[in-house]
Amino acid sequence: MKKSIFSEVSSLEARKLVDELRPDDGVDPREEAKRRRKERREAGSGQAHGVHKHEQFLAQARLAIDTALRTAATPVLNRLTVREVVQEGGSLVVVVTPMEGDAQVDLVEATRAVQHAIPMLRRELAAEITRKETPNLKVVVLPREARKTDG
Amino acid sequence: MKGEGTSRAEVRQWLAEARVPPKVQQNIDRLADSDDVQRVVVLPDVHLGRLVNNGCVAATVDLVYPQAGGSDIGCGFSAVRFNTSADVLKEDERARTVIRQLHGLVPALKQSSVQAVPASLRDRSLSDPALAKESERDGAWQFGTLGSGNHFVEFQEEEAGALWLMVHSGSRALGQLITRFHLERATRSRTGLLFLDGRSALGQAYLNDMDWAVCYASLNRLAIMARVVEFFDAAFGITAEESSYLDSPHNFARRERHFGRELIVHRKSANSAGLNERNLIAGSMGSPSFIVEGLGLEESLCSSSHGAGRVMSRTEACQRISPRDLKRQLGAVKYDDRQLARLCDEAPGAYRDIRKVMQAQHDLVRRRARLNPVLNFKFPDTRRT
Repeated sequence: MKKSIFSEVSSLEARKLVDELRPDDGVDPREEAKRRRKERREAGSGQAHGVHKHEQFLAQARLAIDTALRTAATPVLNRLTVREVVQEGGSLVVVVTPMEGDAQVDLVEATRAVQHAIPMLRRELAAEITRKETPNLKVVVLPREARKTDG
Repeated sequence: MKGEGTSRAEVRQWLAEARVPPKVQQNIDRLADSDDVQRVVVLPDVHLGRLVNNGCVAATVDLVYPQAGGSDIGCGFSAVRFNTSADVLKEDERARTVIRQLHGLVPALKQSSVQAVPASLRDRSLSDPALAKESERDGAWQFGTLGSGNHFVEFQEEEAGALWLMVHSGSRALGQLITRFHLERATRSRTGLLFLDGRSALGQAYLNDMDWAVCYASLNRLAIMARVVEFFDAAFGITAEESSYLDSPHNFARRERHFGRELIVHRKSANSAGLNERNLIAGSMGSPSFIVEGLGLEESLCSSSHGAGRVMSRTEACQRISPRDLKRQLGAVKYDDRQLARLCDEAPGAYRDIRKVMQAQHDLVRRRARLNPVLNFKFPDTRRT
């Protein structure tokens, strides 16, 4: 088809939008507005915002605990890294593994050291986050080759 | 052409009157006496311009005179035919609808949002970063705007009855900016006109930027037409016949071959009229425009008039022509009557009779079609209102 002489200068972007077939095409705009309102109600107001804030909090917790482990006075803790932080009720489950390339870590010794260090880790976490109550921590030490909890 | 050892260029005139006014003659003499000017052609729509008249053509070998190409670089006419009869706009109610829409579709000075500048223009570059920056800012804000004064959107009726759309606009603020930028770097000739050497980097830069502005002006007219054509399609189901599209700039300088040599031909309010070249010559708000074909007369540097040409200055027209006179002169032509009192300087009486102009240049162009005005839309000159 021959290109129109006006194609270069016409409001192309607007035209593309007009040409695009969308699910609301041909629907009474009032009905469409009702449908969108209902959809928003069902999704729960501000839910997307909440999800984002929660993810942000978990990332903050992960960074704070990881830094605490790296700077801890116990040498075995320095060889561990946080792999994942998951919310479980009012607590945070922290999955810890030996650092990459460090296969010599004794997991039993590491677990003992970590359990001993929980109050210290919670203190460090409290200093980094802005929450009225610092969540309890459940720390799990896993071998490096273990799969992530989300699959 | 200028002979060896002669300081004055040859002047050829095609006039609609017996002689030109003294101030116009002074400008012709100034141009003819300027360095390197080989030939000056005076066309029948000649009228007084600042330092160089409108309706004049000058040819040089090496030097470029920005003032001889006009500051609104690339200013010109574009036209396209619709697939319908002009009768559709003869109804008052429909004409009013169109005028109302035109106010929204075609702003005078600035768009309400930044416009996408066409890719073909973005691919070309301006010679200086300062100009490039301005082109990105002002160029985008002004793209698709008409301007004021004698710039217009006009619907016309061809003799056979078809409806035409004609647009008169230019390169908006950018053309003037480019001209000013290069004039600051130009050399003064003995007659006071400023020039750049076309062989130097400065001259090359000016020719490059002028080319850019000519392209911008053409696309600006096309953008205006696109908006009007889209509106006609959506509102009335009337489509444009794109094969009829014509674009006719009348303010530019370019290299052309005449008399067996390459010359830089400057046209200020003058059309190119090469053999069989189709162009547009516009009348005033109330008089016809013409589609013409050039006859390629080398004596005229293959040029013709661009329009009718003013016979009164804007100030004089405002003093001598009343809104009632303007209304009478416009006859059946539709216009925005709210602007009537502010359009007296654009009255048909302030321009020459286009028929006399066409007669005076019968050996330069052949008439192909006559387009009578049906609806004229223009913004009053902002310097005056």
